[in-house]
Amino acid sequence: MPTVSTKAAPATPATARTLPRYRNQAAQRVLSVLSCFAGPERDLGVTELALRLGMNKNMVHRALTTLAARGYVTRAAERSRYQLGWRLLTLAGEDEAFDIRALARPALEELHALTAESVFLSIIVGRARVNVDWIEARGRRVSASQRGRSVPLHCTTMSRALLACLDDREIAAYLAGAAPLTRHDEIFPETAGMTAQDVWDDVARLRRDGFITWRNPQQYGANYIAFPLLDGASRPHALITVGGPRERFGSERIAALMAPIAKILEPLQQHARHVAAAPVIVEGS
Amino acid sequence: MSSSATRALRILETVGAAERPLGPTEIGQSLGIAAGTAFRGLDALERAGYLARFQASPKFVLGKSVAALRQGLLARFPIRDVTAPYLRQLAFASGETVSLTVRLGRYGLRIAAAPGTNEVTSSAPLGAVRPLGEGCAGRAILAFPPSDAPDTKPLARTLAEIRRHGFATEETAFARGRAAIAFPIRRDGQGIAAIAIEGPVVSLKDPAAHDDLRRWREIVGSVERLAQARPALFTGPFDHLDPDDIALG
Repeated sequence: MPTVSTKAAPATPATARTLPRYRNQAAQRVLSVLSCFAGPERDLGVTELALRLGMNKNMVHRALTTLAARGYVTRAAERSRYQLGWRLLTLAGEDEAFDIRALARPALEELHALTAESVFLSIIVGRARVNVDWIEARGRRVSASQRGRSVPLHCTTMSRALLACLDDREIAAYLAGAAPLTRHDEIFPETAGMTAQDVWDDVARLRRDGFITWRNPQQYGANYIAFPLLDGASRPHALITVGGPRERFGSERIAALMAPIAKILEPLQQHARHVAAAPVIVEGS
Repeated sequence: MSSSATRALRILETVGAAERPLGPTEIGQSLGIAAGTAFRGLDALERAGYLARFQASPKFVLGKSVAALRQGLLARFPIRDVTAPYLRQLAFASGETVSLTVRLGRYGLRIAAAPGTNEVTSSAPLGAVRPLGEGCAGRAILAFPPSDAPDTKPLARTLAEIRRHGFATEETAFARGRAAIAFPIRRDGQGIAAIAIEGPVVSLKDPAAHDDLRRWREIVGSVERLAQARPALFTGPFDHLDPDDIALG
């Protein structure tokens, strides 16, 4: 059963104006106690609740007993206190989780319509980049790799553009764990002879410009431009990349497209800033 | 506390379990109480924001207060955020909805999901609860029990198979012979959660023959290594409770 969004509760609910006032004080008291657990405190004691609600401790204790009997609250690890119980999780609801793929899809479609080139949405999964959505251009084009394939964060410029969104300590930890950086050079030839400094150079470039452009030496003639999607703390949600054959998607055309691309991405970037990105854990994963 | 308070909570659970908005008469019939009595409970719940009118009708759906409390509680499961990228990767790799189920006492609680990319996908709602012995996600957890687990003899053969293969399967109702697949997430050898690909992705007879099985295992294996390396990210708000104290009847 979906929950519904309603406006902030008015001082006098509609039902109170249109229906007779039913006295159901015991139920109201229990629900008032339960509502206290919506605050920032993870657990609450009887005395705190009584003070907050202006009830006596006996009333609060009885309300907690009623709520605990049906799993709405339960004893906290510190046994004298209470926390929310499991029952609320079982009241079926929609997943309110932020779905970057669903959110970014319209922008991918707009970018594809604007450029007629392939567009990609990539996220960090552990120590790798994974493309989780894309739209391929027609004819001669940049192709997508296998669905859900993991590419280490230092291999390919697209991956390094995501790596650059992490902080210096995380990048250093990643690079230490990925050494030697040439270990995948058979699959990713551009990593042959790669040093940590090469990675830091790309990091600096993306941080300076807010985007990154490159030509993939593996795919003759293809040019790319990528933009990170960050949250309010500058943590990465994802990377959006546009790539196309050089004869169509040359540096002049990319320069001409910068303003309309930025216009398409702006509302998405605004939205992304208001939601915390999923944690990235490059160590131990 | 009086029965009117308990009645209000039972009304809330009835609305929360329904697949459509409910009115006082239906709720009264469901709980064996008069419609007027049901209405008084509904009134208290609506005033406190736990229920809301469905499109200004006399029927009710869950309200903002429930959503706020649920969000607060879900935020106390860091496993949801940590596994979100892996669920997305699996959902995109398989095309099907991929879910995370955690152990909740003797039950499995479906606590997060990444929507599939296929044209048709389906899945249980977030918050769906099943006994651990039912369904592939619960069984994948149950196959690796803690030392204080109750007797699992009736399922001994099934669980031994799951341990041998490293995954559990469950035939889908709409595609006979095809099955969903669930992989356990273990920490110190104990099943703490499971990741399920919920569509008819494998053959029920020979699930191990699927070309992508190795890839799926690798992805879930990354989550297991994380659980081992960063155990604090895989804890839940009810870990301190005795599993038998969690009764969802």
